[in-house]
Amino acid sequence: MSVLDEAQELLECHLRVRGERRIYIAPSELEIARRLGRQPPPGEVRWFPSSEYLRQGIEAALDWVATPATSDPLRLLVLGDRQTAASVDEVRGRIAAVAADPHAATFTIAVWWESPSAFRLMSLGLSTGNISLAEGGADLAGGSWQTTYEALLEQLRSAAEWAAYGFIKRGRRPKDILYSSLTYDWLPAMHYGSYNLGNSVYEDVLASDAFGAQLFGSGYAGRIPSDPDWTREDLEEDATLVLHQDPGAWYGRPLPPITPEDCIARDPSYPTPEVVVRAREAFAGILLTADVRRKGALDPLA
Amino acid sequence: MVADRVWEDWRAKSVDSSKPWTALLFASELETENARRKLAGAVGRVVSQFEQSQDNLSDGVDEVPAGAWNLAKVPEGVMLTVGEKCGAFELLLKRVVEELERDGVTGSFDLYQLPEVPRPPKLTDLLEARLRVSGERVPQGYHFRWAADSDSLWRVASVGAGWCLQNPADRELTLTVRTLPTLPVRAGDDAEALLREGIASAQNLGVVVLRSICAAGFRSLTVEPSAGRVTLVDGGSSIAGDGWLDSARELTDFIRTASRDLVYGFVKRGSFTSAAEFGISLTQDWPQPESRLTPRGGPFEDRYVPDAFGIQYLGPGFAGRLPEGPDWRHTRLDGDRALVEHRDLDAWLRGPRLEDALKGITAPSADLLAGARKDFAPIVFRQELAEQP
Repeated sequence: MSVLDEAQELLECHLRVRGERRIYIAPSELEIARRLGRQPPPGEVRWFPSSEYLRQGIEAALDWVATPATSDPLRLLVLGDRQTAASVDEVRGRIAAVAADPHAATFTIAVWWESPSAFRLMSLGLSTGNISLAEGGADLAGGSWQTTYEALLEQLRSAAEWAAYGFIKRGRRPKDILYSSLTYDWLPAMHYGSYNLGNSVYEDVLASDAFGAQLFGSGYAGRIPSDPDWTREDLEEDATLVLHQDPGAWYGRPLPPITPEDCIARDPSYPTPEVVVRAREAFAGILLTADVRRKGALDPLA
Repeated sequence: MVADRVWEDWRAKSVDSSKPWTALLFASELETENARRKLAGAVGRVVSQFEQSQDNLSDGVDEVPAGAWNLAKVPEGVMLTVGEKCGAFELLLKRVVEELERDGVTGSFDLYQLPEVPRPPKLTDLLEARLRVSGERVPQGYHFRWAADSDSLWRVASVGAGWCLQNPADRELTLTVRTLPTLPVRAGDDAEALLREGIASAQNLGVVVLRSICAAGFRSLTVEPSAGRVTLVDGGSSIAGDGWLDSARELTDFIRTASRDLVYGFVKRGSFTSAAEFGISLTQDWPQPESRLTPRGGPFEDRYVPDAFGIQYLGPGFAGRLPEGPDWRHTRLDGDRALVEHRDLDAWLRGPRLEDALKGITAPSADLLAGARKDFAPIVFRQELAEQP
């Protein structure tokens, strides 16, 4: 048993490594089309993280799970396999081995430590550029959220160097962080227009939802709404940190009960906290909708 | 003689899967080896007769597969596994029971709860030494296979088992024989005797894997008798960082010790445990040359190498043909045998650096490999060699 197998109150900082969107067609599809003399299929839009920014993101994530330093081995999830590593250097080597294999690189890697009172976790999607840092456990469940929030906020701020987008959210399903915690460990996505909200390939220009702490990269320049409930902090690389005036309303208490049925049905009577309802209204202009995702354009703002 | 839940379990699994699989325990008053022999005989006769009955079916009657029936001794008795699309489980098991009764054997079949065993990670830091045991190349159909000398094979396997057991005291030992489930080797078990039995049962097909797994890593010995292949894998935390140095030294020492029974061997870095153990790491866990590596070269490794590696052992068939060049260090062993090592083993065996892997730079690097492949070109296996009469 580990934190990945149970419910644990947590705060998660999700980050999208800078890169670019491209149309992806599987090499096997291209080969088949070539042999048959047909047009290849249209492909799908994917996010390709820049290798240098990805390296910076991985190092930041490794620092996150290496703190505080401990002599206990780190836990890893690699290719669905639970392992341990004696040092961060060993984890780095293991990530390199995964990165060297195109198939293995499509699996999410998780690294974490856990104690009776807390855990820290990083999840890494090498092919997607999704990185999440999380902290949680009994201390957070007991009401001690400020330290965790401040630590993650610092990560969000410093990620401006290498991330195109990021946010901090509350949750309680650590395993969901490996895929996307927005789908079943976040409030039903009333604004989205469908179920199955997730971390999308459009995050550099359209946010999946509104959160109490948000990092908007240069793709949002000139489009970030102003609102008296929010403060803005200009960062390097044309990025902006946007924070709600009352972080306790976002991070100081557990989310209301959420079931997968709630997320799928998106019943308007669901008790979405008022602070989130107002935030969704304030940021409506830069929120992703299922319609944009369905269209699958390379540039969703064109 | 057969517990009701055996039938119920099989029926339930048949509903859930088109390829049901089960493990049964045969318990009897016979001594375990005797029970295994009697059960093996009964199963062999029943399955063989059933398969013969399928040879001359009338038109429109579909063949029913007997599936795979395998046995192994376990502490509680004899384990019988049935799978691979067995289409007549109930009929065949009843016939096995009748056959045993005719032989005067009484006992019972019940479901067998497989013991939990540790497993090595799928992906980890590892060094692999793949060795070809002395023997001869023999025709097989349109191709060739390598027929290892059985005494040499056992001597190499035995030294390999010793290397495997050098892992620290917190180790747990397991043994996998062919497609049977991996079973623990317990403190009172004779690991070498079990290994020898496993090798005998895999004589014509499959592999035997002895693993020693502990907190710092694992060691495994894989023997593929039908190909004369022995592979040692040293993996886990102990290989990370500079750990490869000690590992490479020990693997090289092993090769020196076993060299009189080997025609060829290499040591390489890798990441995928099963690819190394199953002898397919050169196609799945190694930078491919322009013309992809072919598994057909195995039976020719007494005279041709599959590729260039940081450490290679070249047996007597390479006498007078050792690659030259300033990058290689030759160590002569007895009787025209040699170890050929690159002067910069770190570049071959340390493993990928993160910044390189993210940029798609392979380890070992393309430049290093290109130079080495040029040096080894005259003795690298080519597909046409396998096609000559």
